[in-house]
Amino acid sequence: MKQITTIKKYLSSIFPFSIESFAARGKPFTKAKTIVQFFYYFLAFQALVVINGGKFLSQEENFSPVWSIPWANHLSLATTANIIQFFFLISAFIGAFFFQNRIARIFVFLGIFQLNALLSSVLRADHHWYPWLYVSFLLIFLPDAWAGKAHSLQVRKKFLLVFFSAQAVTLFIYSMAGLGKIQGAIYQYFAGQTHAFAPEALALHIAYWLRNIDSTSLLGSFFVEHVIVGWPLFLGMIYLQFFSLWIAFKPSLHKIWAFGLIFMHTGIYLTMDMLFFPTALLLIFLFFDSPFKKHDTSWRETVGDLPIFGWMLRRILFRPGNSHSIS
Amino acid sequence: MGFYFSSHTSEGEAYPFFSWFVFTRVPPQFITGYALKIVEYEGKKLDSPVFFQDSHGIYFKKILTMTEYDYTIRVLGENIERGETEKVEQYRKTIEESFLSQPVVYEIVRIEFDTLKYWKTGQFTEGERIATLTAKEKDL
Repeated sequence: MKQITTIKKYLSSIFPFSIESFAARGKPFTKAKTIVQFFYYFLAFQALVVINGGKFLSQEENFSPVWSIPWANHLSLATTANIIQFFFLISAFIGAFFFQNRIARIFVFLGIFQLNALLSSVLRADHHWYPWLYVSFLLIFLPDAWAGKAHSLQVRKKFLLVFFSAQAVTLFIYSMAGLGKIQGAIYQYFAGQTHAFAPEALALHIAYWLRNIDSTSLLGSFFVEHVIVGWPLFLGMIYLQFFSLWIAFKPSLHKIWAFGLIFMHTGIYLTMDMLFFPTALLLIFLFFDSPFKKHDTSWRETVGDLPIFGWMLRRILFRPGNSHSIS
Repeated sequence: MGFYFSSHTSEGEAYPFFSWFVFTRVPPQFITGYALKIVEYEGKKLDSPVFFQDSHGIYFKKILTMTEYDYTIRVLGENIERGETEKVEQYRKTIEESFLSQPVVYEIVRIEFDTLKYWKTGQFTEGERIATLTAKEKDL
């Protein structure tokens, strides 16, 4: 028991993040509500974009319905796609109109769940909508925060907790991707292979991937021909991915980190011809105007919150007694 | 859940659970691939057989980039090695109709190369021949 208390104290010293203190103030709650509202509005627009795109419809021979759409076993890909896309459109608009209602939010989740099932039944390793799926699932648990004007601390706390869990799960995905790269690098290092921390890593990924998918990209050749330029970028990407979950507890970095992740997605598109547009959109919604970010956060505080580097900089540049120390 | 399904399913995931372990390993720098070598052109045996990538402008007017032909040649080579007759015919037809605009006899040879050098210079080490094929005139 004593050890648990010690660990708790230690963690709260690293992550001084309390939902209760945010709930006590009115602004984070109001902001989170607005973001949730626009999440559902924008999903309706996305549904219109999705029904317009049928890039996978030519892949009838690769159509193998996943467990969640067993009825599709008796239908063609085109019919299945029409049914699911129509359901997605309807559910997204139900969400846009009645997001305050839990049943409507369940409908939205089911719409995304079916859409993802369709994509996974045709295009293997298509995970574009997974983060939206997880977030829409979590948002089902939002308390009723739209009826009436005054809301109890308990409601505000529960609302912010659900919102925070949506942020955390999105960042957790990136941390898993970063962890996978570090795990792979350790394995390859001991196996005597080129690993993720080696200068050639990015160039090899690009050359191998583009060759495999039979594609080209705007900057792919540049990075294959200038191996050393890609090295810091690839290391930066691993840092960015691995520490993403950490950032969930550091609101001062929410916007910067989200921008970094979107920059990473853009870079991956420009080099490897792979675009994660829906995820980038989710990052904008959840982090660009994060309810947990204080408006009076100084740049020193922001820099000091950086994983590893922040700790180092706090000790080197912002020591107590130093005129630039964090107050 | 994602971890469990990554090792307990043939797909490495079970919808909607995924480990998010993507691009975990850096691809090998030195790999084996396949190249297409022209040995006969318009019924005449060439004194020095020419690799397809070096034949543009000499035998074939169409200028192609590596990504345009490399994938098809590689998949043809892989299917010849695996003995997938149907797929061999499919990719062979693509090559003969799209890239080889004249009647030719060609070989598919195994090659070894450094991925990065190959990207820049197209240089590789030639290995064993795995097939000799003739582009049929009716297909051209």
